[in-house]
Amino acid sequence: MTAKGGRRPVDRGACGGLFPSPPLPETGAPPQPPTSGSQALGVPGGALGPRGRAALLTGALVAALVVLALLAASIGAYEIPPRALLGSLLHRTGLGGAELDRVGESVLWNVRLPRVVLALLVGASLGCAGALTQGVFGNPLAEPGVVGISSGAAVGAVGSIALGLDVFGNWTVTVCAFLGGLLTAFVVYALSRSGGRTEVVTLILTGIAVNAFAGALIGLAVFRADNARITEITFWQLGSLAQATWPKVLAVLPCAVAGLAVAPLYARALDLLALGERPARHLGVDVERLRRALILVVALLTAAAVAVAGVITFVGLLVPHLLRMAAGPGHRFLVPASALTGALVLLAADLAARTAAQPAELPLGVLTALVGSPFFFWLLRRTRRGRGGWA
Amino acid sequence: MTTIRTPRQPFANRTRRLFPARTRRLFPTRAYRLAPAGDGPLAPARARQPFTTRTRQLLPTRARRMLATRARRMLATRARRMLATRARRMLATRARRMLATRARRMLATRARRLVSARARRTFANRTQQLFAACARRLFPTHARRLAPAGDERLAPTPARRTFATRTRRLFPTRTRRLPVPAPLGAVVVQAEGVAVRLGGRTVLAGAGLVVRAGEVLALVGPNGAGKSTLLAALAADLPAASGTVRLDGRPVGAWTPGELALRRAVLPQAAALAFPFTVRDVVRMGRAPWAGTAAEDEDEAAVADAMARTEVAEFAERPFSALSGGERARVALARVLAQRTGLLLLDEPTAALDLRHQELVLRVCRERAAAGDAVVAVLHDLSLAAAYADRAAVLHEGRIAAEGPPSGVFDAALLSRVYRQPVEVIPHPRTGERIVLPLRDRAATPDEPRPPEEPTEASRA
Repeated sequence: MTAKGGRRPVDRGACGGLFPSPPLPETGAPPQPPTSGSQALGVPGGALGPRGRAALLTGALVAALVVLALLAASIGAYEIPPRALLGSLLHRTGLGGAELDRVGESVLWNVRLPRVVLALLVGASLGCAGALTQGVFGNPLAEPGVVGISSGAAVGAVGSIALGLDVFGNWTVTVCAFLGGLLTAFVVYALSRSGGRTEVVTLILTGIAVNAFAGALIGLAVFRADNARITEITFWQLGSLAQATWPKVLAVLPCAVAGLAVAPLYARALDLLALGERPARHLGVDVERLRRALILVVALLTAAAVAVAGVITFVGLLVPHLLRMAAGPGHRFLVPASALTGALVLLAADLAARTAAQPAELPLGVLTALVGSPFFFWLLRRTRRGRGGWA
Repeated sequence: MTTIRTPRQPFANRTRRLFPARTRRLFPTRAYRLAPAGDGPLAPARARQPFTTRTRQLLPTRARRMLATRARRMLATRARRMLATRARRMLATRARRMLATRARRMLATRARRLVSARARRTFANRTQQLFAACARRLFPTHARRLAPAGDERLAPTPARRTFATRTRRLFPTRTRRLPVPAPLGAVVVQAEGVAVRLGGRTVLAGAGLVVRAGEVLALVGPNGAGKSTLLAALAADLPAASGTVRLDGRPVGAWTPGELALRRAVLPQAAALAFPFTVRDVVRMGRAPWAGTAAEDEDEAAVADAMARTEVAEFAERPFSALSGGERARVALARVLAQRTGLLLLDEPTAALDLRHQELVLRVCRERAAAGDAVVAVLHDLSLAAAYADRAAVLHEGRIAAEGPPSGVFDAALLSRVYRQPVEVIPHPRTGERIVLPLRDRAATPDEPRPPEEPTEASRA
């Protein structure tokens, strides 16, 4: 950590009286290579400089996303060769190509593609929400679940299943989960306000209390429900994208698109928030309004994702942390890239869930936690050794 | 029947005449209205036939003729009036714009040929200021959008106007009032009878302070006297339970956070960072309030200058967490300096710094004061305050015990009473500056048991 190359020895002079003004910056000194995470990770392009690295990563992510989306659409119980898949896509958009046979076309357009698109949307929402939460709380360990959204959505869904509600037909569980998530987030925020301000620590502690309460409510529901309902509750909680349909995609689309479009606008304010709440206010950031807006955006994104796909942990925590280690903490790159990487991670997880234990499907939340935790642990050890500190 | 040409028709007719074939293909049902290629003016009679046939069957002749004439006259007058006004306005605006552009260009060319570059720039600056002043008088409700009189001279035109600069000039910060540099000696921030309560305890009780441009004001006092609280009240961090704090002539509540950030910079006591930004990123954050204004062009220069002055340029690319406490304090100070505001509020800037850097920081403060800014610094080292401050304010139990030039304020009796520690104030043998030293003479602390007397020279001899 003591790389101080390029410092020319300045003649401070003898004791004689007043010192001259400080020396000008060494224009000839080469810029220090950043000793932050990219070198610890050994990512190629570590000497490119932060901008070049960010551009390279974005390009790589987009390319990987496209490739993985095509792969995910073609691999599965009904194999669709990629060429035929591309042909069918081109045919639908009117640019030539050829349709598949009837079964294949139906599987592709009514089963596979809604699932792929839903995985993209849910993954992007969760990744982006994770980056925003970590920025708002100024802590790389924060997660959208901290504010109680996931547990509130779970309470809503579990309650509707246990009570056997059927108000909205097939959409009952989804709508109840969405409303539950939003309500819980706002309750947590309202309870942690005092004197018109919200302290971060109060927010987190209130979130913990509300999470515990929600867990207790879910336990009660499970206690009172019969076996069939318990199975439904359990599998909903584990998270899955199995019943993905175009109406479901359309249901999550407005919230996801609204949240993803608005999130990058707060990038600069989030950067300033890293200095602390007071210094950020001194630099012109209206911290209270920012926090309110961001909690609203995070609540929208996460509630929509959880309502449709169940409780999927770890994506919101892991993805921004990974990107911060790879490309620095600047939020201008971090927020959109978290969305891209979250989509990528969830798509890969969904593909693995579908194919790992065919013909059964692994629950998605279980898979992300199972694979994510050891990987994260390994990353932590490696970065800690290389960096020696977190802040 | 005469054709009633509504203002929209000429264009439509022209298009239809120019591209009859294409229009015919696009709108086949209306094709009968179009003249075949190469014909003269449109034949409206054909289009009107169905209506006239029907009306002829339905209405008697005279009524029909009456209606027709009346309608024709009404429409004619209305259309004529509408057309007249619209055409007049259109022509007027167009002619005005054309004339304006032509006149401007003519003048510009002539002026350019006659006048030198620098004179041209000042002329442009002055004209723009004059226009701004006239516009401000003509449209007082929109005046807040315009830079107030005496705004910063427009930045000298860069060698190459980049797209970013041009776009930024098109959309200037609309709702922020840019600061006006205050002349030396003008009151920058002023607190009158400010009382602040924190957690049920009155930390500040009726403190009044005036800070002027071009001077360094040192806030001194024991722990818990309210120095940081007074600084926070001046910075509009804490609301005053009573009394007012006025910044640039307005109460601080009247400024938005963005406007406050353009006028005052605050150095906090502790420098913490939640994410591993590099030193250069941290200093660059200080330029954030100026985003969207013309001062954004000097971001890089401001950052480099601030880092040079605080001697942190050597570790510009190091992550903030890899720095020692003193280096972090200097980086925070560089961020505050890069903000380039007219008022600097520094909370214990010399707390974690070594001797060299303490002197460096206060020299920087003096330089900023000499350049016309106002600096308020909370200092613990009284000799340092006596050496560098123009004025000092001693706080004691939430009130200002004394205020004025250090030579008058740093009085041994006052300081001993305030700090509850006997001090002596002696003049430097060479420069005459005040040096404040605690009295460590054992005789001055009566509660301690007297040590056995050392054999003096006289008794030994």
